[in-house]
Amino acid sequence: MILTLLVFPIAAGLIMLFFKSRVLNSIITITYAVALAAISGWLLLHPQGFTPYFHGDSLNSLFLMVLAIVFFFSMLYNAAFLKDSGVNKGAQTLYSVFLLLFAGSMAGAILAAHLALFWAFAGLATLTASYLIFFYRTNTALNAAWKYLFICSIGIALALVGIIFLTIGTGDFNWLFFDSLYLNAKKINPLWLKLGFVFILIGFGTKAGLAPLHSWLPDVHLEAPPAVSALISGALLNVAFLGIIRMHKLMDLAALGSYSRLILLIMGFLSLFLCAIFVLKVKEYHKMLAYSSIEHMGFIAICFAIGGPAVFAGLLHMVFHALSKAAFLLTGGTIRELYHSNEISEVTGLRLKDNLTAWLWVLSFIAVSGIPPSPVFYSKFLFIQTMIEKGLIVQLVMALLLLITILFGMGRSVLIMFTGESPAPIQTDYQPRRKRILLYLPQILLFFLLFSFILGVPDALRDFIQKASDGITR
Amino acid sequence: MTGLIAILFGAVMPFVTAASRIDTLIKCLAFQGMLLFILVLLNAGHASLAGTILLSLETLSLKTIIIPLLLLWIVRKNGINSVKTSANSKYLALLTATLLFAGGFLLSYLVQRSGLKINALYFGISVSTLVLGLFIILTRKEIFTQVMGFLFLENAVFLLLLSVFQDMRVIAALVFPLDLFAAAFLYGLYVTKKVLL
Repeated sequence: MILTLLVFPIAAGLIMLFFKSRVLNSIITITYAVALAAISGWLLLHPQGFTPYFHGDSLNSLFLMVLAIVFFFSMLYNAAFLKDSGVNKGAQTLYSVFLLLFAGSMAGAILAAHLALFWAFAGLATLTASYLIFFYRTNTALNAAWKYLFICSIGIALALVGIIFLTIGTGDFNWLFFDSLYLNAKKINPLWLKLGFVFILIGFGTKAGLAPLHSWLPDVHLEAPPAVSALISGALLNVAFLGIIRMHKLMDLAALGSYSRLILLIMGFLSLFLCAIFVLKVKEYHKMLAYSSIEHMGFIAICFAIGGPAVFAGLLHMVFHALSKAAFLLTGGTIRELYHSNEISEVTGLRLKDNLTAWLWVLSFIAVSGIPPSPVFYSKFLFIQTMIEKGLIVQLVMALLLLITILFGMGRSVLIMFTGESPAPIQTDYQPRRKRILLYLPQILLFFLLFSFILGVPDALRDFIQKASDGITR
Repeated sequence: MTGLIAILFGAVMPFVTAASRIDTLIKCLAFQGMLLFILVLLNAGHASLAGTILLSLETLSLKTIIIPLLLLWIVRKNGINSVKTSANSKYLALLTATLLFAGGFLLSYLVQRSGLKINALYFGISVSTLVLGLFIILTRKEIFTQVMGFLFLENAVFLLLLSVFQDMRVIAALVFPLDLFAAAFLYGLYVTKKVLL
């Protein structure tokens, strides 16, 4: 079943290249998203290993489910986006094939039972994403794709160095199966394990957008198509963070948890700090969303650094952030289509120009920022509670100050865009609301899903996250 | 013999950091590729035949011939001849490279003393080359030189893999994704033409 999930993108990609039909492309990508969701749902209920190299456990099944949901809604949006893109059928098909390969490589990384296999799939995801970022074929898109590919490939190379160091510490390449690593954690040479952890953290931290390795993310969000941006912030960052979580668990089991916690805490706070600085002076709304992703990854890193119940909060936050950020980025894509601009100062009077998009924009902001009744508030509340219980008051005050600064910076920009006078209508025949319901429906459905958690996190989801959290902290 | 080749591999790096002509950089890269090919052959004794053939082909055809030739072609197509570096920065780079090269030997000595079952000389030299590859990427501003830095870094990772693993199939499997990145960079350099260079 898992292998089908990995072979499907290649087989379906060949079919898509043969027929070059936009409708078929959309059907296949959405079908793949549904298959991902079905398999991740099955794995959540029945975690098991299918081959020695791929397995589903309570942790990675959750990540697979998030990937499936984000991919599904992004592909719904993408169907409408491609119709208006003005790109020829051949380029559209190639773009859709790469989307499938991108999702497939992320699924492969999530399900990998061996560290080197995880690394290889993470590398493949980088390669496929760089093609997708270059979709618009402009010089700025090229610059963004190049920057992303270059920075992440250095990260991937350094992660490999970390894997080699870890192999030296274990003495056997076959020990790099996650289960073997956890089982033999205490036998690993601590020096090589620490060295390996640092290099792997740099490698996967680059892909996860953790500061100070985040510089590719703002440019990528500025240039990538909306669905690709949503997949990057909603899924790829999580996938990379899964690698960090796996390594952090190993460090914990090897009684070196304090070392990995310290580094995660530093990177987490640095991410919040950099975001707080840049979000106040950022001029482009897509860059603002990128800094918001950096902030949230930093927040999750801090949750894992604190440990205990905060790990549960971190995983919950990861799920909520993925869904809300996907909706935010998809809405951002619609705004770009409406105004033909990325500048905050040029996007005013959104409410007058397109009321539905304007409200989706504000709702996205509320959801991402964790303003009640956003479910993100719940994970932040759990975080605060754990910090107080653990007596980490100074760190809590610092985190809250930075989070409030970010909230202020983002809120100001969102309100500028929402209110004000609408600029003179641009000469275009593009009328998204009338023509393309799919430019709105994915976000609306995502909000239904997200805000349904206001009524309380369902017991089933709570159990799954609790199991995943227990698996990490055990 | 293998020790001498590994030392030659590391000794290329001070030349690389001080070089101001692009074709010198490319020749250094090809030379390192050839040295890696010889090392693969010399280490083939306790490796599988299939893995050895794969890695020999990889180092000889890809690292020694195809990548350098493609780079030369791109360079000529874009009319790039030299790297912009001042005499002062060149001197500092040379000093850093020499110190790191010496540091590689010190690291080899420390690793050997620790009694680990790895090739200590390969390890020390590969780590010093790796750091120098990063140094080139961080200190040079031109995209082309940064890509060269990545390719040297990739060679260093290859030597690092040789120092740790006996099984050539494992090395081939781990090197393949990095080669894909190298191919993507070459394609990128070709596509970008003068946009980024």
